[in-house]
Amino acid sequence: MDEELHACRFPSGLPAYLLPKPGFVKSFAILATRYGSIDVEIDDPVSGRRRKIPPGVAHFLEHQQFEMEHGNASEIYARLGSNVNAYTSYSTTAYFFTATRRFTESLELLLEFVLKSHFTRESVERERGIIESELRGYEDSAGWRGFYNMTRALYLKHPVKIDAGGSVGSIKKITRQLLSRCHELFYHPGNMVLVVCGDLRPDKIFRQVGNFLKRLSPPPFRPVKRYFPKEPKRVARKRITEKLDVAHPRLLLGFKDNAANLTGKKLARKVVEVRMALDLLFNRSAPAYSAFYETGLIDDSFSSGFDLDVGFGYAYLSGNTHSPGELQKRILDVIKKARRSGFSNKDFKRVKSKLLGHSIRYFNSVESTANWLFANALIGITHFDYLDELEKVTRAGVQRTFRQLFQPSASAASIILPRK
Amino acid sequence: MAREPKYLGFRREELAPGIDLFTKRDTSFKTASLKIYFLTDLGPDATRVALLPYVLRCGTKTWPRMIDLSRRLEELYGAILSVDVGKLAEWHSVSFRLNVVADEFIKGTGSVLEPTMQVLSELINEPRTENGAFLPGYMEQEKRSLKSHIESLINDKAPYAIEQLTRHMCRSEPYRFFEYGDVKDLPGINGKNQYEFYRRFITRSPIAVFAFGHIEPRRVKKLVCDYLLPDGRRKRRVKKKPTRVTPKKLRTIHEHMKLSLGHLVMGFRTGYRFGDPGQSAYSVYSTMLGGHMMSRLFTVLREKESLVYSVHASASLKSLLMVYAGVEAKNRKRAQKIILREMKSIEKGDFSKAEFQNAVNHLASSLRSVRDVPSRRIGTAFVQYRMGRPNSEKKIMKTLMAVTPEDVMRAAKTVTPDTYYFLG
Repeated sequence: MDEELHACRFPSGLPAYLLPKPGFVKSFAILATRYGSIDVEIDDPVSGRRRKIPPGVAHFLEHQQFEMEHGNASEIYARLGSNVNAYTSYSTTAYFFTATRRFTESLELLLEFVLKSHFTRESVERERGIIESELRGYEDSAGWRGFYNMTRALYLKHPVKIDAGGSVGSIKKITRQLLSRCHELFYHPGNMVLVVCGDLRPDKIFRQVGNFLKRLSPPPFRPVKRYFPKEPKRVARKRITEKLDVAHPRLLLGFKDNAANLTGKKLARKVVEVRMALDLLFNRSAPAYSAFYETGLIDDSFSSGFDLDVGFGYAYLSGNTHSPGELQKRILDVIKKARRSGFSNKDFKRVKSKLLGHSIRYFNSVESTANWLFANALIGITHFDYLDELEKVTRAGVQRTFRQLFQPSASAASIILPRK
Repeated sequence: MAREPKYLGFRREELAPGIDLFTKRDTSFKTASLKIYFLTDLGPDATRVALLPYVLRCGTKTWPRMIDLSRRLEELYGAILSVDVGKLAEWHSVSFRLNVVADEFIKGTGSVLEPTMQVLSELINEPRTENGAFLPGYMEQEKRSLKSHIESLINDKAPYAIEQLTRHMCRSEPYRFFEYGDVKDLPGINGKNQYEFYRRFITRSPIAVFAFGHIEPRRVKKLVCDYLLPDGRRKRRVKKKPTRVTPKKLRTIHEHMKLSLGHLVMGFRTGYRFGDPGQSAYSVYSTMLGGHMMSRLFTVLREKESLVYSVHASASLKSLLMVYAGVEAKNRKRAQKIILREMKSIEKGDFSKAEFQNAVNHLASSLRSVRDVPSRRIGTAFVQYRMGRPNSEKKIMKTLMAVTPEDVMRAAKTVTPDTYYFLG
């Protein structure tokens, strides 16, 4: 592959990656902090005291960061003709933009509005109203509620079970001071990652970022210690059911990963192994899929996934079904059977060649390339390492990981039922 | 001989009457993308049209079951073969999309493109049948799946609300038909009559084949001719232009549902058709109103009034303008009033130079970026082709840059309210 990755770490601790894409019109940059919805209990490095942060602060900050001393970041991006956006996940908050012109100015603005903060009482109050409307929208969303209920069923203590945006109630407690403090704690360059992709010159871009950081001159980086309660192996509840205005019942069956203690290449390898196991058992090319689909137990919406982070993880299967109970039973039967019989070499090879083909597709757009690099950077590896792990994956490894993760006793169901 | 105009850089070749091939090589991409459109008029057959590609995907002569097809594609380095249906003004399209890794990125020998084309060819031309009918089992399965798909629209409230408005607003035009059809039609469809429909459909629908990315145009042409070219004897034709309607009286519809957040969609008719002079001005208008993060409605309703999280305005090929706002029921009237007030204000020219320029910049950037996204590039070229407006990026850009604030005011004046709809 003719893709060359450039990497550098600035004195303030920020790692940056750039992958040039000659011939592409769009450029993309993503700047993210390792701070997400699960960081709700920490040691304050200044006072040394342990403190709790109300749910929804990371997400509130994500909204609030766009307010700058001299206007709103979105507005300036609009003037530049670039598109900007952001999201908050369990363990990160990410800000990114796409530009077809004036990349340097757009990047400067990204560094500026994310690394500096400017909160006024009015802007905080205004944002509270917008976030409230956003949260209300999620309350009606079957997809969102299904996931939220699944994590609540899987976890007893870990904050992954908290609603990522907080609640209409919890965001009422968020003050300007609290937002400022969390920005100081978590938006230090040493706690962040920058990834850039486009028809760009690495030396020029790195020099620009270096100069910005020099001017910013942040204090020495002191990592924030997070506390996560010890999570029992068992699940909190076997099932959570909720009624919403949807057309069909929907099942989300989750499997809690009780060995989510990996980082780096090992974590990447596990992600590959679980992806393969899910494809081998539940993809369109699997006998179980055909059996479910042909009898009308599932429809086109049936899918699977795996979220693995440092310290927690879960695999899931989801889809519309006329009978969530029956589908759950059938999925568990398939899993029990595969735990005994394992996977055939022929199937393993076929699915592996598919995943190799798919990994080449990541390079087809600046966004997917950068997001892929970014996901790898967060766990401290590069996409070369990932491709290496994909090449090296073995059938025995997939089987071992599959047996560890997919234990019926570690599963829980989230069911959405139609109101009528 | 006059030079054949290009559609966003795609070279067009007529392979047979009503069958066109469009190619464009671009090796910045590591895959080859192929998309085949079959086009028909949107109408009472919508459900049959929607069902068609899904029934074809169930099995072919060589790969008789879906699982066989899936496995074959996995072997070919995860070749992607997907089907879809779409609504383009008052046309209904059935499309087959192929995406394969370019041969040079694959270790070992052999081509992936050719065997994948073989699969696609069978899917379109040699579906699995029995006594001149699609298999009853496959029919039942896909009817069930389509039914579930149509019914699931309600799960996502915003797109559901927009579709409901379309149905009410265009109640006497072909545009009212949902691209996935209507569950009411399903009981009347069986393997026999659907197969007859399929035969008519593939022999009478105009076909456009697009190939883009890491491809060799001449080789693609040969493969398309060898594998894909169906019967070229019959006339392949669709209706030329969409119907035009002038709204008489404003209608208001309220659909009740117990929701935390309500959904307001306001439908308007506009004076512009795709490719009309002045269409660029109209694009600037709708973008300025609600087409980006700093649009008028986003700034006022979200940033100033803190009333909504999501609000946007979108223009369609059918000359409609839809304004959407996710708003609590108690704030609905206020949101509606503000939307109309802001539309009026733009019409009167009450906007800053920066506001105007932001919209132009947004459109320019979006136009430039089409080059980087194979699916958008193919989609945009297809629209140009169907609307009979070949154009280059450069020319579109020039027209866009020539738009003045006065043009935008003129465009705004052609917008007439038709139907307002609220869910919640």
